[in-house]
Amino acid sequence: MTLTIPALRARRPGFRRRPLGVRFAAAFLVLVAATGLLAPVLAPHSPDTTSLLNSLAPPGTAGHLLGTDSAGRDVLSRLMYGARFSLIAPLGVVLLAGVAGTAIGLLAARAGGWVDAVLSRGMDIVFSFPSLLLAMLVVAVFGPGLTAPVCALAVSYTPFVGRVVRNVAIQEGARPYMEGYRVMGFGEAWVTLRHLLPNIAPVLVAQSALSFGYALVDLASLSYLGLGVRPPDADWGSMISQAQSAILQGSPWSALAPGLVVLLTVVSVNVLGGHLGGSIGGKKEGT
Amino acid sequence: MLDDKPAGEEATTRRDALDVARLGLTLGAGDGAVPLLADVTLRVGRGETVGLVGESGSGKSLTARAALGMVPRGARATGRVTVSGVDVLAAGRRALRDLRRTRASMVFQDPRASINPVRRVGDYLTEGLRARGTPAGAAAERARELLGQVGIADPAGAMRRFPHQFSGGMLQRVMIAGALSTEPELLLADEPTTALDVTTQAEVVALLKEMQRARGTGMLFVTHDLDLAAAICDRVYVMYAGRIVEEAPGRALFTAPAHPYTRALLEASPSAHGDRVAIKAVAGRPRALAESPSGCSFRDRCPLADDRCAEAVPAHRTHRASAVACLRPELVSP
Repeated sequence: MTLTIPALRARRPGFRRRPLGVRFAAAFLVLVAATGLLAPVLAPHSPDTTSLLNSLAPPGTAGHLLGTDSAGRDVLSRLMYGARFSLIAPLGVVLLAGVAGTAIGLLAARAGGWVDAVLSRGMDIVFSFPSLLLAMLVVAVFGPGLTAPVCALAVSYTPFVGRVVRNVAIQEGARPYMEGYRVMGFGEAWVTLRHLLPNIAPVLVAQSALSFGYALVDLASLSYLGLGVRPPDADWGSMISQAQSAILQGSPWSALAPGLVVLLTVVSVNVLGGHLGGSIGGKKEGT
Repeated sequence: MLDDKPAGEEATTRRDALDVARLGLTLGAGDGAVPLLADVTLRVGRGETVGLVGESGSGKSLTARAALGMVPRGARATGRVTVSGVDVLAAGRRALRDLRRTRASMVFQDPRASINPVRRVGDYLTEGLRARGTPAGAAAERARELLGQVGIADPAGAMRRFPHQFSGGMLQRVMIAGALSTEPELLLADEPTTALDVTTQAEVVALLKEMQRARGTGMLFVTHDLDLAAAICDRVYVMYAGRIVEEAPGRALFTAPAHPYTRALLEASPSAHGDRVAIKAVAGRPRALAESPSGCSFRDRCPLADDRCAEAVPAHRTHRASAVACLRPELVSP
């Protein structure tokens, strides 16, 4: 296993050889993640300190690079702290949905027959239920906070991953090398996990990136509706929601900044995910 | 010759690498049942090379896979398949797994499609050994040794490379090394040279023969190339529409085919030697067992057929060196 890493790196193009858009996307995500992580050190102000005398300052005001919101809180600081919730929550959704979806998809594809039928119809049912509605339902039952909506979204995203995994696994399972390993006397579970899974990894990565973007927007929507992060904690969705009245008062800045960050993050994740999905696993021949 | 083996049957089956007796394979049941194989009987002794020849869809690959207990989903097998003493069709999961890990291996047609593209060659070769409990170091040592034996220069470097970094011929050598890593008693070669170019083909065939001879492995060589089979095999079985129509020693098959189908196949293949002769295509198209006519399956394409051929499936009978399922072999080769 230790042999694997150096040779793999040698085969891959370096960061500089990747397309410009991908480099921007990666750099932006690293920046956002780093500022979220280092928010206590980097943030110029406490995210929760209000100063009503200084409310709705435009960007560029001394000491407030991106201005302040209607309660006089520093927008930049809140964006930095907000990155934590806004990134970790969708990551949780993607991880949970990824694991569950992969397991269900692989099981359905490899077992076939009635197992496949039951799992596939189950996924169809979950899929037909709007994710936001399910999340709101769960929040209504368990109260606001992050855990409940993350779990709810993970459930509704599972078929999103599972259906794709099932289809690719069926396709991949029909390739001759799968039979080769069976002939060598390996069991279905071993062949599936050790040989089939790595071969469908590109699809899994691309699909996860796509779900990450959707989950981020969904969670921001929940926060916007006041069902996600509890005030005064900041996340990007709740920042947009709280800035609504300010837009009517003629200062859109405090809503634009988090809106733009959500947009750029989602785009970056999709660009990066698409690129990684295309380059992992080397050339795909035939199929 | 093909049929009853009354006395000493136990003794011969124990000695043989592969013994298939009256194997039948049917997909589905009731009215919709589709027969795939009927009455297939063949034998591969230890150290013997046996050819299984036929057109696409004749059931030769099905037969080879049945030897490993791999029948299509939903198919019902009848008859008996024995690999070095193990009854394959009656064997449980564990017994089948052990059989595939230790006694029988398979070499496939297209090496590039038949080896996991994202795993290193070293992983491919050691995985089977590791599964049998060989420690990692010893397995790697053994794999390097095998790569050297199949003629790959720099075995240590080859272990670290990926399948796409090899040419087709080299990769086929890797697969042969993998198939031999478990020291099997039976090697099933399913068109191992079809995907390779002609010079590589010769090298791979020579390698297979050499490895097989050195180890005393029985080899079932499945191919559609009758010339190749006749040249390298001790005995050749010719299959048509899920049945075996002729069994003959390799040489005899080439010079004196006894079944009209065998002769038609020989006349249909071009030859670079001797006089120029017109290539004769076999009239009609190959049949699957399910759609073949009553009696002899070949009769609708056979120039010698008459009404008697429709009555029943001809029994195998001896004609010169062959065992042939035809009513009039003397008209084919007098």
